[in-house]
Amino acid sequence: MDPELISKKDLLGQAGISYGQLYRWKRKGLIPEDWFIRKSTFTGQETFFPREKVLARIERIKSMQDEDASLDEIADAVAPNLGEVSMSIDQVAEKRLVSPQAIELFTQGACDCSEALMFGEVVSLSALDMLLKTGDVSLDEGRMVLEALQNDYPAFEGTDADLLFVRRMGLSTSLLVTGSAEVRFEPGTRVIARLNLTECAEALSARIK
Amino acid sequence: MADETRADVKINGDGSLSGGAYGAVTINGAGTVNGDIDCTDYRINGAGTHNGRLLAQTITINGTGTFNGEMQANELNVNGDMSVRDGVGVGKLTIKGNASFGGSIASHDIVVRGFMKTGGDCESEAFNCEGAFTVAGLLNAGTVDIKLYGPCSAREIGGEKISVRQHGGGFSSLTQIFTFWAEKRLTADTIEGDDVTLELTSAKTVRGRNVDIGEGCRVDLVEYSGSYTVAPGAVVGEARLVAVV
Repeated sequence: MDPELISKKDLLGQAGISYGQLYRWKRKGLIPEDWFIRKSTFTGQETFFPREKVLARIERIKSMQDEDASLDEIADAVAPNLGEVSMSIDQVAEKRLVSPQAIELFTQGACDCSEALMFGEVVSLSALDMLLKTGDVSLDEGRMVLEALQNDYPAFEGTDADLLFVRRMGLSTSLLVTGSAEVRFEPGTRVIARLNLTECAEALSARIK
Repeated sequence: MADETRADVKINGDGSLSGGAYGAVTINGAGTVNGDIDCTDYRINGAGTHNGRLLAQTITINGTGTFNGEMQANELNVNGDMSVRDGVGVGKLTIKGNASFGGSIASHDIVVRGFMKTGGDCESEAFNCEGAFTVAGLLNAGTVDIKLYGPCSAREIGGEKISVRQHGGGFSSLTQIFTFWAEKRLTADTIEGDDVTLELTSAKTVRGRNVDIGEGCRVDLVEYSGSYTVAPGAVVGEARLVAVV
């Protein structure tokens, strides 16, 4: 069995929650639909979860419950409604959400910065910023990443997406995959970064608030 | 948009309507709507076909309604027959008659007195069915309360309190409608809940804290962490006490 996955039964045991709670949280959108991974086993179909993500999420839900937050409040915090936020590039700069280099790169790109940015674009920008800050990604490569994000991130909106940046023999490329997807490359390929965009968005929304 | 600026429209007899924002939309007779509609009250008395999305406070179908698109409403009442190609999001869904949905249902309160079918999942805080249903995916509800009047099936059922019982008999019009139907039985792959009470149910796996397997059940595997009872007539392949659920 894939060590990165946890079965539903083990999850309930480790997290100390009941079936009823798990289903309730799913209904409320506290645990995203695509973390429920159905696989065939010898006892029939079973549901699995991405281990680290789901355990971290349950930890967070429980700690918020200890602070007497309602399920709806928790849902807003863990799965923010991305459509409602928009801000101008100047506001992004003012709040120091990302570095000036990233903003410069962003304004040079094809994007029209005169209008307010949608939250998805701010997420793209902050993902770009994180990659640049690692020092493993050059400005030129950053431009390429940004292009990939702008073209394809909207298609992943609302689902859990990972941004992958890989390099092989000096050539680099970036790709977007669903968060639970397993990706394998030929030998000699180096995965420079794998960034979860949903986590990016959550971190960002916490900072904006 | 302010409600005052919205006009009420009515089709009496035979007619068609194009999309837009309206007050009350009423179809008496036969009507076709082409385009997305945003309205306060949507009512079909007779037969209606809607090609497009529908957003309304209240939707009432008396007769037949065919919807090619998504639907969102605070309240959806079906008295008769309705089919929706895509999914619906409704606060309260009441089906007296027959309703089928191509996609998933998200609701707070579902009451079925008749037949419901969905091609996706069905999520609700409360699911109360006296009749029959088919859920192709997961039926997920806080309380699942089913009285069997016909064949019921779901791939998975999950929730806090799940209760499945054979109907108590007596003279209701429903009993007569369903008399000629196939076997009254619930079929599911997996049923998982905190408190699970079953009758006339076939399932591969039943998991729960307190599990009560009643008359006429056929279950391959039961896993429970609290209490477990089984009726004399029920067939259970294996029952395991597990540490935590």
